[in-house]
Amino acid sequence: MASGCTGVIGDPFVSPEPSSPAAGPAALPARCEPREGAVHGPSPLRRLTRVEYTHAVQDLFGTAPDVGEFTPDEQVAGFRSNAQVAITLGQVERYLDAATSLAGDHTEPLMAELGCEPAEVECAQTLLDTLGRRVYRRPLGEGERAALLDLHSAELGRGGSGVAAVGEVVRALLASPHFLYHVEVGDAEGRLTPFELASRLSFLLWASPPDDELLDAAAAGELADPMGLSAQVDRLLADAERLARSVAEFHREWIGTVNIDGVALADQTRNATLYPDWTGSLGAAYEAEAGDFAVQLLVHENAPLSELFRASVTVTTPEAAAVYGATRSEAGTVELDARARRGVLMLGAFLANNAHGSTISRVLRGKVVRERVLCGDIPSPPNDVDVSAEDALSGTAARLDPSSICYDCHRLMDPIGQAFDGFDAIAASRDVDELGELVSGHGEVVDFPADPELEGSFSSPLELTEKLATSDAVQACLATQWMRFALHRREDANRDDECATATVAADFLAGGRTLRELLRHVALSPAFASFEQEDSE
Amino acid sequence: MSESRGRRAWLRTLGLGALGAPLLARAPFLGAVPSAEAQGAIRRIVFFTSGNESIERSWWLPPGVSEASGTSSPLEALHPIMSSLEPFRERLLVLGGAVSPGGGHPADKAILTGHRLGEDGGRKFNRGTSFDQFLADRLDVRALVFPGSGVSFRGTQSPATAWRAHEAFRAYFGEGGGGGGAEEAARARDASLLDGLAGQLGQLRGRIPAADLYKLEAHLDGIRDLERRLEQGVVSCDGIAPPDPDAEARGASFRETMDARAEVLTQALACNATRVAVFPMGGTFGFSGEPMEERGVTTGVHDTAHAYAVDSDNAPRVVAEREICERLVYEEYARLLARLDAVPEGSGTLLDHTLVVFVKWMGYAHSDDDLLWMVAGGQGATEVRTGRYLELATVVGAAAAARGGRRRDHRGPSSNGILAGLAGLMGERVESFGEDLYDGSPMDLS
Repeated sequence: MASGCTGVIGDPFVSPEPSSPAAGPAALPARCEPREGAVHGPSPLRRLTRVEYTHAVQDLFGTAPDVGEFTPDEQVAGFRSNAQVAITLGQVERYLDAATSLAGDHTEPLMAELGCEPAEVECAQTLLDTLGRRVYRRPLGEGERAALLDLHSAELGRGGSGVAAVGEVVRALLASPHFLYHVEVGDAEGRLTPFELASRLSFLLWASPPDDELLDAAAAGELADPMGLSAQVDRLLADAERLARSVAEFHREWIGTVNIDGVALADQTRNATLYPDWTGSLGAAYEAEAGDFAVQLLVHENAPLSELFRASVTVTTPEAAAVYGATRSEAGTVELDARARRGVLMLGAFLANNAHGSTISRVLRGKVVRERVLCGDIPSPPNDVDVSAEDALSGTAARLDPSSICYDCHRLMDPIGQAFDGFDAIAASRDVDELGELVSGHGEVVDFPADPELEGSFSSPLELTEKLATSDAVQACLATQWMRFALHRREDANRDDECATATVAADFLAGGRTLRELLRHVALSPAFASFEQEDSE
Repeated sequence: MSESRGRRAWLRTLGLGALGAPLLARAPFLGAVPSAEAQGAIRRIVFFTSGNESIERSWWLPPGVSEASGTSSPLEALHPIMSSLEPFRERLLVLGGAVSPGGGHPADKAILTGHRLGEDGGRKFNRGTSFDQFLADRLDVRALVFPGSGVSFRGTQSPATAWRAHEAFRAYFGEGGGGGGAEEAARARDASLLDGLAGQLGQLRGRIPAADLYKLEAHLDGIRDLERRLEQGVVSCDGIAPPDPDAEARGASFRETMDARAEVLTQALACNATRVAVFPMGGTFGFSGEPMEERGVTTGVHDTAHAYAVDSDNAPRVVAEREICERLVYEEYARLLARLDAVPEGSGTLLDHTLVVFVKWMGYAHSDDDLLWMVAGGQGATEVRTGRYLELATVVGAAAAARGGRRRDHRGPSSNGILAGLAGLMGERVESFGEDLYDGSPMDLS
């Protein structure tokens, strides 16, 4: 049976012809003067992601919740963001379960911390001023306070204890849509309110809700002042521990630890005969490493972003280190053989996540590089494409036949993906591929007008990644990806977002090119603090 | 966080009396409720789903049947791979050759909605309400959906809740507990909380973009559902037994998981707690924890399906492993039929009053075409005629078949027509179902 990519254009039963691929940006970004009356993209109602919920609870109570039963997060603009799919009935109940459980576990310690008599209404009011403000990420309105205090008094009226009464308030706070959603209403000019901005800042930079200091700054109007805002951004960036939360999450999502079908690396399977070393814990180690590698490099060492493609020290488990043919130090770091493996594209997450049970996937590896590193866009194949056979190594020639309907997309992916043929489906090095052929690691980058230097052939994955490390266009793409992560939307759907993103990228390229500098530009971008207000009901 | 504590605490007033007898997974259900209504009319429908495809046509076409489009043939035998279904052959309607509105993995989001997928920045999403939910609304019941496939939707981008066995039991029957003043207080407490949350969601309506209202509506639906359970209590039914809550804990075996779900499904149907259900045996990537290596499948269920499409001409091992996977699917379908058939109801069995529909959302090689559907049960009614094979597809021209090399030589009508036909069998006649692009007029299944 042929193993190429096949399809029937014009079949009335299937989707229309797929849209054309985009190879990447046409040019390097340049600073862009915001137009007067700029209107940035929308800010849809978003539910907290699992990671955000986890960190929020951790910051409130000091312990991480178990979110294993929560529905999986969706992806928007390439990153996790629950901005489109509506909540399920079951998830509503799971939130209530969690709120009940958390209130049960933490109300008494909270009362001890506050040092007041829980049956007294003043105590409940103090709780709303402290915990309530942190949960809602803003002070509560009078009506909101009254409703919550009613729960307190009602429980006392039923004969409940003071702790039970406060517990009802805690439960209601944690089940509230004001906790579970990012609610951004904005002011009359379409700017985020100070508390909305505080929340956005902390979720961007810490993947967590604002702390008391940031909320105080918002209350004092400091975030409306450029100096005050800048000072808070710098403070957040200086907190390495919480910055690491966001940086780790970004990099796990950016490079990908969940395959195209939504299966996390830890849950993926491999042919046990071919890959006896594969275990769920190895997959989990790769997931964690994708974040920890970047944190070590970009947060703790403050290295320039280009080092993502060059660094030969990673942070992972002994099991993963053994796959790399290396040894883990007592500090948890692993020195890779830099002559054979270096950078994020030669770590387990990228290599193993873009593979199948028995085989590697040139297509998926090339697709990730084209989309995530070069900022191109590859449309989905049409419904009737024979995807079963599409990804076989033996089908490369058929996919790259210019007369094939697959050619336009696959020429942008496969010749890049084949750089990594020397790494098998669990990320171990190899000399021979599934077809019994010696692997070469050579390939080609075609059609990348933003950086003609990057175009052309390469002879090894090391040569390719070095070219990526030195490319300004690649650096600019990373800036764009961070903007998508920050805005929860694509920049190219709105001309003012596009302008702001170009400026962020250009300013980043003009500086020291560290992640902290980039995040500073992102956080201070006008696109970050304002949005298009759509009509409400 | 203590999950069990939370679950016990939350809505604990919804329980029945003394429960807790261990589940006897294969014992006949004792709580069947014979009723006149149950006799002579199909009253329930269950969608049995599984991932991947049913291999190619030659692997499921019953021997001796006509492949002339629109022809109905007696089901005198089944393909050997379906031998487990032999006891139900006379109670099966096999439908060959329909076309799905979707193709590839995301087609699970299309197969029961009858709509093509939406796409937003490369992300594919469902459009419309799935047939199970549509029917449940028509019948004024809450569909019981188990996890494992993403086929069920309340509306565009609004997935239906999938309950694990113990969650489903709790949702339909409560989870036990005492009565008295403490329970009344807990009920009042929960009611106050839900009321407050509904109020907050209502206040948000005027503050968020109109385009986001569906998200609030979905959240409100969840709150209202819980309120209903508080107000109305739960279904009371003699003889039911909750599943072991650990039966679906992480690491539970495939057998434990499937049996626990089948038991809750059986109880819910027999007690008239619902009339519509979705019962997946797994998604594209596996069967709820079944270690397929032990059955001789070395690459995983999904990769085996791909490997078959690539190498079946050359590799007997791939063919054998593919057969193992599909044989297991038919065995599980048969097992569910047997479970329902073991429950007496009226003058027949629960299966006699239930349509159990076999659905896969992809055709061979992950395509959208030449799907296998099966309908079992329903002998308590006269409308559905089983014991036969109905050919839906037309053989396409040789040129089209050869194009691309795939064995793609049959094209049939939209599967939406099957769904519309099923609606009629359930007493909810519709003119069509699904997107206008397709012919969704009711297929005659009689």
